[in-house]
Amino acid sequence: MRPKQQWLLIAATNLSLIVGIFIFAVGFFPYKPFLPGLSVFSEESESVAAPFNKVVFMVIDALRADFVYSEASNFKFTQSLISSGAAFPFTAHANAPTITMPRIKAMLTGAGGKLVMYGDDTWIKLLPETFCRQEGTTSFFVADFVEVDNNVTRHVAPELEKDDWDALVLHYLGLDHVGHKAGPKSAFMLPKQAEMDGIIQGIYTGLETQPHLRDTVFVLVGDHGMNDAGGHGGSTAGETSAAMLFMSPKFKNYTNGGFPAPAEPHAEFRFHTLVEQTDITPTLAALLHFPIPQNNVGRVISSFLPIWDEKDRVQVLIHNAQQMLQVIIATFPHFEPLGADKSLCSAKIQKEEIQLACMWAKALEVRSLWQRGLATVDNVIEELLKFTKEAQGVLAMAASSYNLTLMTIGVVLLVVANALSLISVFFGEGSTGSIIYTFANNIPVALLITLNCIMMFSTSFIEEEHNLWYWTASAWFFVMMLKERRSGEMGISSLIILLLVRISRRWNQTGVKHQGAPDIVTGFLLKHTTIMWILIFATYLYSLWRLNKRVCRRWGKAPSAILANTIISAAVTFKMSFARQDAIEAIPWWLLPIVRLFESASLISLARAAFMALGIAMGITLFAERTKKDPKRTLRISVVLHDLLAVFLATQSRFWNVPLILVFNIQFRMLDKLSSPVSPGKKPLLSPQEITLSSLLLQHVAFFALGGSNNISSLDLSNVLNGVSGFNVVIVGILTFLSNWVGPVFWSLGGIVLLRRWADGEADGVYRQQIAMWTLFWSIVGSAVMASCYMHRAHLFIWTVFSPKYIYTMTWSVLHLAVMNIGVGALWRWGNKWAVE
Amino acid sequence: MPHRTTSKPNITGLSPTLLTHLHPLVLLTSYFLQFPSLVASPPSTLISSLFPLTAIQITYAVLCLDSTAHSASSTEMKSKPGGLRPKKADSASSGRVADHILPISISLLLTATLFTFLTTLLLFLFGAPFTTHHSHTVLAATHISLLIAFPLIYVHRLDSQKWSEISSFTVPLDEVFAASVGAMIGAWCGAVPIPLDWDEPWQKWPCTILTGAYLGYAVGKFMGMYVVGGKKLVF
Repeated sequence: MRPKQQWLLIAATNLSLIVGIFIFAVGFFPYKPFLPGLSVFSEESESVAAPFNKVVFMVIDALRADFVYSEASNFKFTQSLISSGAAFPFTAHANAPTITMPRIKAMLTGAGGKLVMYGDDTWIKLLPETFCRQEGTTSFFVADFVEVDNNVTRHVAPELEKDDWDALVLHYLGLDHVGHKAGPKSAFMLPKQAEMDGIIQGIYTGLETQPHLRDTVFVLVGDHGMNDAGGHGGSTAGETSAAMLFMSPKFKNYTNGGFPAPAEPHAEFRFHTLVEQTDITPTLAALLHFPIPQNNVGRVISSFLPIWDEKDRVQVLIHNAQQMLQVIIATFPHFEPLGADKSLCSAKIQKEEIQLACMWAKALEVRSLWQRGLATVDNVIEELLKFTKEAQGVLAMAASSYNLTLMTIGVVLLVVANALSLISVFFGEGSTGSIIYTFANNIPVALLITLNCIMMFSTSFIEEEHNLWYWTASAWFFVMMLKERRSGEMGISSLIILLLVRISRRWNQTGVKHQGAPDIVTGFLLKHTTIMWILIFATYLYSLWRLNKRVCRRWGKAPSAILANTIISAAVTFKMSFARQDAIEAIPWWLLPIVRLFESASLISLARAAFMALGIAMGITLFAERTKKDPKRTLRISVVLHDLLAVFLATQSRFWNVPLILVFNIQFRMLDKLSSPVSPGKKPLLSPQEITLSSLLLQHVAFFALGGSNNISSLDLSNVLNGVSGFNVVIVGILTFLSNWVGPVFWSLGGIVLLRRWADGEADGVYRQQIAMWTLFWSIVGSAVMASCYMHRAHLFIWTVFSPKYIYTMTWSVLHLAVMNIGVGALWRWGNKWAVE
Repeated sequence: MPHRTTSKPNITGLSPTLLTHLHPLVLLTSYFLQFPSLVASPPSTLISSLFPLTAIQITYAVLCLDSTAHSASSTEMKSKPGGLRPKKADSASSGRVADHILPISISLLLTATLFTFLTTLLLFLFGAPFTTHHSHTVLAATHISLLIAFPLIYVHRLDSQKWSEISSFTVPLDEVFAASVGAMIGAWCGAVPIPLDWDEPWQKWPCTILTGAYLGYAVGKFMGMYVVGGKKLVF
C-alpha cells in the first residue's frame, strides 16, 4: 500500500469513527420531551389552601442521610427538631442530581416571587438576573472549606430580619469540600456538621420568633450523597442517599409526636421514609401553593397530606397527577387516556402505557364515586398515589427515549471504521501482504483488544478497568525483560519499568470496589509532606537537567541554562503557590517561608508565566532550532518537545501526582534505551510494533495511576482554570482534557518520540503504522462499548456505569486519538523529520 | 531436554512413565481437597499443605527425574524432543535412597530460601499486596517455588549455563520447564477473578492465583510431554 493510500484509509477510519460515536451519542443520551411554557392551576386547584407563603431553601452539598440522622451525627439541634416533631425527615434517592436543582429554581422563578441567593455560584451562572440579592461562592479551591461557607453564613442573619423576599436560597459547599479532601470520616467532618447545625438553629429560631417568618417552611436538602472516598456521581448507596428535611413549628400538629432521632438505618444509608429527590418539587409547590412545574416527574410526598382538609388533599394529588399525565403524553406519543372502553385493562400482561391509562381511569372513577359519597377519601388518595407512583417509575426508565435508529447507524459506522482500520493495519508499512504473518506479528495487540472488548460487557470490569492494564502491562514488561536477557543484557531496564508500574498503580486508588482504600498519596505522601516535596522537586530537577542540555542549544550554554532555569522556576513557583492555596497543611514547615515569598503574586499570573516560558521554549525549538542542521544528529526536536511537555503536564497535575511525572520520565528513558540500537548498525531491541504496544499500555496505566477511572466522579477539575481569567470555554475545555489525560498524552507523544530511530532514513512509514494501530485499537474497543451500551440500555446501571464509560470512550477516541495522537502528533513528527534531513 | 528415567521399574516397582502422569493428578487432587480450608483460612492451610506438596514433589523428583541429566546432556544425548532418555548404568541408581538425599536437600534448601524470596519479589512486582497479607504472599510464593523451582533445581543442579538459559526462558520446553512456565502463566491468569463483584469468599488473596498456578502446572506439564516438547519459546 502506498503511503498516501494508508493516510487516506486512516483518515476515513477516523472520520467514520468520530461521526459514528457522535451519532450514537445523540440516540443514546436521553431525549426527554420538554414541555415549554409556565405551568398554571386549573380552576379547582386554585382554591386549595396554602399552608406556607415563604421558603428558606438550604442546600448542603453532599449531605448524606447518615450525616444528619445517624448516631454519629453532629446535627444535634436538627435531631432535636426531628424528635420533637417540628421536622419531617426523609432520605431522598438522588439518582439524577442534575435534574432536580434546575427544576426547583425554575419553579421558584416561575412563581414570580422575589428571590435571594447565597452560595454556589452555578445557580447565579445558570440563572443570571433572577435574584434580587445574591453572592456567589466558587468551588474552585476544593480545599477551602471555611471561607466558602462563611461567605454564605454572614448574610443569613440580616436576611432573616428582612421581609421582602419570598424565597431565600442558601447553598453550602464546605461539607462537600471536606469530603473531597479527606473523605466522610475525616476529622473535619464533625466540626463542619456542628457548624451547619448552628446555622439551622439560627434559621429555625428566626422562624419561631420573627412574626413575618411565621408562614415560612424551611427545607434542608443534600443535592447528593458521598461515597467512602468522599466523591460522588456514581451509583453506590452512599452517593444516592441524600438527607432531606422540611422544618416548621407548624408541623408539630401533624407528626404524631415526632420521629426517632438518632435513627437506625433500614438499609445502607437509608433512614426514615425513602422518597425520590424529584418529589421535593411538587411537595414544595403544594406547600407554597405554586403550580407544579410542567416537566416535573416527582410526587407530592404523602406524609404532608394531613395538613390539608379532605377536599384539598384530593385536589393536591389530582393536580400532581394531571401534570404527570401531560409528561406521559409527551413521552409516549401513543398514550391515550382511556374512555369508556376498559376491556384492555383486564388483560394479564399489559404494555406499561396501557397499564398507566387503566390506573388513571380507575382513579377518576373512584373520585367520582367519592364525590357521590360512595367511596371514602382514602380510597381516592390510594388510587391517585398508585397512579403517580407507577407514572414516576415508567418515566424514570423511559426506555422509549432511546433513538434506536441513530444508535444502529452509529454501530454500523463503527463496524465500517473497524473494517477500514483492519485493512490499513494489515496492508500497511512493513506488512508482507500476508494476513497470517501480520496477525502473528501482532498477537499481543490482538489479545489485548479482545480482552478489553470482553470486559466492556461487565459492569464490574468497567468499574475496575485499571486492573486489565496493570495486569497486562506487568506481563508485557516481564516478557520484555526476558527479551532483554536473550539479547545478552541483564534485563535491568525492563525490570525498572516493571517496578515503576507496580509503584504507580498504588499511587492513587481508583475504581469502585476498593474506593477510598489507602494508597500512596493518602496513606503516605500527605502524611510525610517533606518526602512528597522532595519527590516533587526531584521531578522538576530532572526536567531542568534534561532541558539544560537541550533547549535552544544553538545559542550556546548560557542562554540554554537561563531559559531552562526560567521555565522550571516558573513552574515550581506556580505549583507551590497553588498548593498553598489548595492545601496549606500539605506544605512542610521548612518550605513555608519560601512559599510565602510569592504570596503577593496571583495564581493566574504565575500560571501564565510558566506557560509563557514553556511556549517561548517550544517556539524556539520548533522554528529557530529547526533551521540549524545538527551534524551529530543527537538533537531531536521531538525529544526537546517531549521534555517541555512533561513540565507542562506536571503543571496540569495535582501536586501529589507530580512525582508520577518523574516515574513516567524514568520509564521513558528505559524504554528509549530499549528502542535504540546497542551498537551502530544493529537493530533496536524493540520493534516498531512493540514500541507501539508499550506506549498503548503505558498510556492506560498512566491514566489510571493518576487517579483516572470510568466514573465521572474521578474527573479532576482543580487545574482547569490555570492561567485563565474569566471563563473561556475553549481554553477551559482544553485544560480539562489535558489535566485529566496527563498520562495518556505523555505516553502517546512519547510513543512517537520512541519511534524516531526506526524512522531514520525512511519516510513516515513507522509512524503511519503506529497511528493505524492506535486507530484500530480505539475503533474496535469503541464499537464494543457501543454494543454494550446498546445491549444494556434497559440495565439498572445504564446511567451510572455504561453511559459514563461511553463519555470516556468519546473522549479517548475523539480528543485523545483524533485530536491528540493524530493532530498534535503531526507536529512531533514534523520535528523529527527535519532531524534526519 | 529429557530428564526422565527409563520406563524400567524402580523402587516402587511402578514405571516412571505411569508415575509422571499420575504426579499432576495427585497434586491437583491434594490441592482441591484442601481448597475449602484454604479459602477459610489461607495462612494455616498453606503451612499445613506444604508437607504433602513437598512429599509429592520429592517423590516425583526421585522416581521420575534424572538428576544427573545436565552433566551429560550437551555431549551425549541427542534424543528426540521431549522423549525419554535411557539412564546410564552408573548414574545415580534409583534403588539407593542415600544417593538422593544430598540433591534433594540442596534443592529443598534453595527452593525454600532463594527461590521463595525471588517468587515473593515477583508476586510483589505483579501486584501482590505490599503492606498487608505478608504471610499469605510468602506462603503462596513457597508453594509456587516448590512447584516451579524445585524440579528445575533437582534436574539442573547448579549449572550456571543452564540457569542463565532458564532465566531468559531459552531452555527447551520439556515436561519440567513447560510445567514451570505453565504454572507462571496460570498464576498470572489466576488474578483475573479478583476484581469481579461476585463477593465469593474464594476471590480472596491468594486463592485464585494458587489455583491458577496448580492448574497451569498440570496443563504445562502435559503440554511439555505431548505438545510442545523440546521446542523453545519464541518471542
